[in-house]
Amino acid sequence: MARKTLTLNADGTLDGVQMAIVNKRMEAICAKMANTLLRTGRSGVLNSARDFSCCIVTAENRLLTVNESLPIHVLRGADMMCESMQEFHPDLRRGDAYLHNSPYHGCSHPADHTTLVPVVDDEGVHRFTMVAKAHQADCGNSIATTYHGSARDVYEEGALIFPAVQIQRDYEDIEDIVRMCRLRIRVPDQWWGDYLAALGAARIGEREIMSFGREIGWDTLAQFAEQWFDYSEQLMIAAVRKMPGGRAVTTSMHDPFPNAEDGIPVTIAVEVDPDEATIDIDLRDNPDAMPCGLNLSQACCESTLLLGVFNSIPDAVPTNTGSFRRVRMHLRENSVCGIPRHPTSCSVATTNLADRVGNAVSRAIADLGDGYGMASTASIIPPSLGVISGTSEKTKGAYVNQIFLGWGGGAASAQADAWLSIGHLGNAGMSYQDSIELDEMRFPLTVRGRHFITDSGGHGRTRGGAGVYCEFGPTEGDLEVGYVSDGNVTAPEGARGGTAGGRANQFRRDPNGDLHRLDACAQAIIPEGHTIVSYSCGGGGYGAPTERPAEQVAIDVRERWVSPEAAREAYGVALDESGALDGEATAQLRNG
Amino acid sequence: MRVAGQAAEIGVDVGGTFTDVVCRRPGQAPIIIKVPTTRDDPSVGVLASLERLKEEFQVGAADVARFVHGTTVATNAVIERKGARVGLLTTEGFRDILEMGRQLRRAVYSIILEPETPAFLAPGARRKGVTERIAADGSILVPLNEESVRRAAAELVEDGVTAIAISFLFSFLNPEHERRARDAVGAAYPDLDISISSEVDPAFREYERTVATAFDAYIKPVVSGYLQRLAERLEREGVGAPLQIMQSRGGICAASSARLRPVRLFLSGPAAGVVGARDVGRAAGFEDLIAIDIGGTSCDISLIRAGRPMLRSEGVIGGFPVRVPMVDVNAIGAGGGSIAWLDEGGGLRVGPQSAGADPGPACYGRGGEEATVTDASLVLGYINPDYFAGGTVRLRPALAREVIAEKVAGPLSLTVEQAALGIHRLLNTQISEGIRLVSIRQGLDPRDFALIALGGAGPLHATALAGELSISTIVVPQHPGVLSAAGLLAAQVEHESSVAFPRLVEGLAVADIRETLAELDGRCAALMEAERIAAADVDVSYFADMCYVGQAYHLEVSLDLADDDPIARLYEDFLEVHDRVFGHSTRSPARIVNLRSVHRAGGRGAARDAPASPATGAARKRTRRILLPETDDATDAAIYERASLAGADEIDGPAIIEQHDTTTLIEPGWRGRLDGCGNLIVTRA
Repeated sequence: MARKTLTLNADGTLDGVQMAIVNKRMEAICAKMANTLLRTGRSGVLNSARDFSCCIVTAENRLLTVNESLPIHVLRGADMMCESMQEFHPDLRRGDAYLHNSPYHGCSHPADHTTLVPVVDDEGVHRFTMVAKAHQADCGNSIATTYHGSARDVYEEGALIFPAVQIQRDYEDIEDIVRMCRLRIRVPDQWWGDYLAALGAARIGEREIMSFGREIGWDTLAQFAEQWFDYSEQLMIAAVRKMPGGRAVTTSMHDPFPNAEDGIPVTIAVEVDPDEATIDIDLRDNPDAMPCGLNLSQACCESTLLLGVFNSIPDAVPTNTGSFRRVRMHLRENSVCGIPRHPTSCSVATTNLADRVGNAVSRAIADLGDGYGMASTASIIPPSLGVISGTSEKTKGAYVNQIFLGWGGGAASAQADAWLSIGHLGNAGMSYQDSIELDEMRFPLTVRGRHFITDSGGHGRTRGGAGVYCEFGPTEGDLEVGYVSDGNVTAPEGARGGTAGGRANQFRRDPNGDLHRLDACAQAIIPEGHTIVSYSCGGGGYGAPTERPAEQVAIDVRERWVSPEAAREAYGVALDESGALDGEATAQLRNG
Repeated sequence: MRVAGQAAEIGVDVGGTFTDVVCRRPGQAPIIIKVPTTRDDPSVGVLASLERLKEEFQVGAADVARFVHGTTVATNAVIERKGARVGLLTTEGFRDILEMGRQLRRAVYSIILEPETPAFLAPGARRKGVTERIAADGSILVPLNEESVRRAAAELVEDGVTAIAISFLFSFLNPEHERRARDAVGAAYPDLDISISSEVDPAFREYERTVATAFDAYIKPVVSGYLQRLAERLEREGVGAPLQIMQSRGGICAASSARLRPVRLFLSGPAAGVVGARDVGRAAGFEDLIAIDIGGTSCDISLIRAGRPMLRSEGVIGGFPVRVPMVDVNAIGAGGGSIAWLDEGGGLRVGPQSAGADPGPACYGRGGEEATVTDASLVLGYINPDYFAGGTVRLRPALAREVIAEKVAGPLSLTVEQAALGIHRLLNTQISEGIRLVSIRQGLDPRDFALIALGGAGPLHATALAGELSISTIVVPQHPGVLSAAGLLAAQVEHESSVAFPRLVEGLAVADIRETLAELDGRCAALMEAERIAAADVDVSYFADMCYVGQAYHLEVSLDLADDDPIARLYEDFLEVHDRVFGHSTRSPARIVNLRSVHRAGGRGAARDAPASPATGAARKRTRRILLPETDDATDAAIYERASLAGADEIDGPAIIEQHDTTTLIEPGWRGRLDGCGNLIVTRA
């Protein structure tokens, strides 16, 4: 009954109107996939924190459409995963589904179980692959966390690795794989519920795109993809042409961690050529892979570089293989931030070092010209974002889940104060923070306090987002909290004269109220009656603080973002006892 | 001629520009009037409309048997930031809940964004923690220290607050601390407006509950003052009937109840529109409807299923998500004034920016320099330049052609006509995708619905949208412009009460539920009684919000206590709803999250008693050349006057039906006819 919505031009191409129409439909399909995953996921990681992503990849393994997904999940990697699926399974059939989490074949890190559903048309031709990636509460690691920071290699890490392993045939589960997972993943029922949610999302995407392909013709859809890539590249060209040209080298340093005792230095060279409309990013001048879980997968490495770029250009540029053509990334094999070799562990690849790398790109762009780029977003993963585990009556046995109680602060940009709690660079503010009530109802824990920390946002012409204080403990038995908190030593950097954000820290509070400092990377055991105190990082500021309007600083003080002392010392702003701006004293501080 | 003591029912809907009034009297044609809205004090406009009813139609105050009102005063208070200066009391250690929010950025790579949370309601300095803590099982962990409440309140009053919101952790399980804190503040400061979260929104998730409560406190003085003023003025004029107000859920209640919970009035106006659409659809024989209301800047999409407007548990007010139940009206930035533009990659975009009413589309000739959808409609011959908005705005086709040539056709190497068709098709795609998203979220297939087309531009796009969505029937009401006012008179009195009920379905007995429902019934019944509605006239229905164990989002499921095994039935129904909405369900453990009781009374059709207009038989005026999609040449379309259509007329597309407040385009393959109520029904030929 549906009328034919498209007729191609005489030369077989789509016009601008048709392009826009098809793109709307593709975006809507992605949105439906995401809606299914959010609403049906069983673990808090999915249904509370939204730690998942959905996208559409062409049969040639090019990323076509992404909708409100976590950038670190999908900018690069979905394409590589589909490529390995095709390599290992040349004969793709309708009804197939593949489970993929191998960081050596395009996945971000082993906790991100990805369901790949090849879309096969009525003639048996593979047309697209629907991708639903969902961070698991547990992935079978040797310890109860999905972020094993100290793992010397994938063997010590312990995750089950699935390099595009077939998990459905003719729409039916291959029970061997399901049984393997059930035996090696803690909380198997929760895993099973999340698997169903991700599979359901991919299948809904498959159903929708099948009907769309039949409606407008598969060749038309393929033609759309080609033109959409070209169009996206044109938008990217226009964006890069407006950037300041030149080469900038920035550095950063991940904190010392077990098996990386001296910390991990990062050096990035960014070269923008507005005339050629290209951006070159060179990461080759970095250490070899290390015997710890912080090494980047290739997918995360390339994604975080692209993220640094996309955070610095107008948001109208679509993120797909077409726009990516203008960014040339130079990576080295066996680098800590490059292309890992098996059995290097990439357990923590999506967050810590990836954030250092991506932030350095934004700061390099800031170095090229005032008005461009960003400061650094908060480093993570503090205990308030840790993986909690234990055994309790309340959970009727063992429980494992990641909580999202206190994110880090966002980075100040050239144009605006930071988005308050961005999470971290890689999820770009796309994950929900947990409801305290929901966490307390689900798990045997109690939260004693959660609030922003004054002066923890980097000072600057624009301000970084504040860090969060969060204190919680068990109500029943021991609580194990796994976390890998970067930013205890090197704070998230400011840009162009903005100051760094506040550092992370963590303590155990005993029943007497005394605080005992905890390691930055640990599986902390918190006994009943004790609590864990978590300070998350603030984001860096942008531009000289003394350039921030004094009236705005007075408001910052009134709203508790900035202390009166910092107003005076960092911003050169004096306030009287009532908190009102003292213009004369301020003028003296700023000009004197 | 005036008949003494006639029972006139009056619905008054205050919109942004006009205040619409529908007056019904038994056995007579409805009176429809419009007066300008008086923004500073909308009650002035309302009174002016009464004056006109008296002068022009001899309907006096003493004749008014019912007076139902839809108002945007709550939403305006938020948009214009004219609410109270609010202070917020929270559990000690959690003062930043309101500002911290959930942290979900709306545009992932955008550098400048509006804040996610409505921190303006109570910025940093006006948020205070007090000593108390309820545990996750409702027990008291830290007793309330009333002295800390008084101290915090004193500081806030010192800071000039005029209203206080109180939102403590787990108050939805145990409201004792909140109630005591309210009493303590009220005793010290009797003039303060106070809202407590366990009454405003007794459900889990502290951020959402705090936002609803802070909004309630913020708008309370404004709403309360307005309703009181209006009630007093009506009384002074001699209107004996009590003032009734439309609530966001689509039910009406006494103004005295509405004042207590103003947060429930945000969608008062739009809810009336959906009820009006429901009523027109029902009179035309359709219980499942998709309503599209396309105006100048936006398109409102809503769903009516089985004769009831579909509801959502959370809406967006002034850009902020607020968890209060409301009719599921989804606005997308697509209307007649939407601007067509090219991005840097040469891609055509339509909206969300709009040329608005001033300067408006280029064809208005008021200096508009952007190509809009209305300009495209004019180029395509769909609208009559001499009869737009009843002839009040004379359109200039040359200006429309010029601007489309310059802004769209030229850069894309298209003819002006191709460009205009493109603008239309893109707009139609955006709206149809919007409709798909709304229906898919509810797990419904648009093909099972009739489309009801409203607003100045709705009927122009209806056949194209129906075509894209494979919908087979379109309803264009006789008076699409005053559906909200008519809806006010068709709505039922409704009182709703809900409570958190965190229990597994397994092992649950009906008796456990009955006690809780009885408590909810008691609250609703008291409100009905206050409106002097007899218990015998009240319909009661129950609902449970449910999810699988582990899930964080719930679905509303009907609860039928008359069933042999209500709990077993509830579980089966949950499986069915989960399957409908998400495409799968398994027989795994589920739990109840909230229980809800809804009491409804009264209400009857507004559309049925509206006599069809007398047919003159001279409806067909002439023909006009129009351009349609997928045709290369212009086609002759017959032009009809809506007011002159006769019941027997059958109109085959391509045709255009003009009336003073809208234009209906019937594309080829569609056929229109009037039904007995004066609605235009368009079906596939």
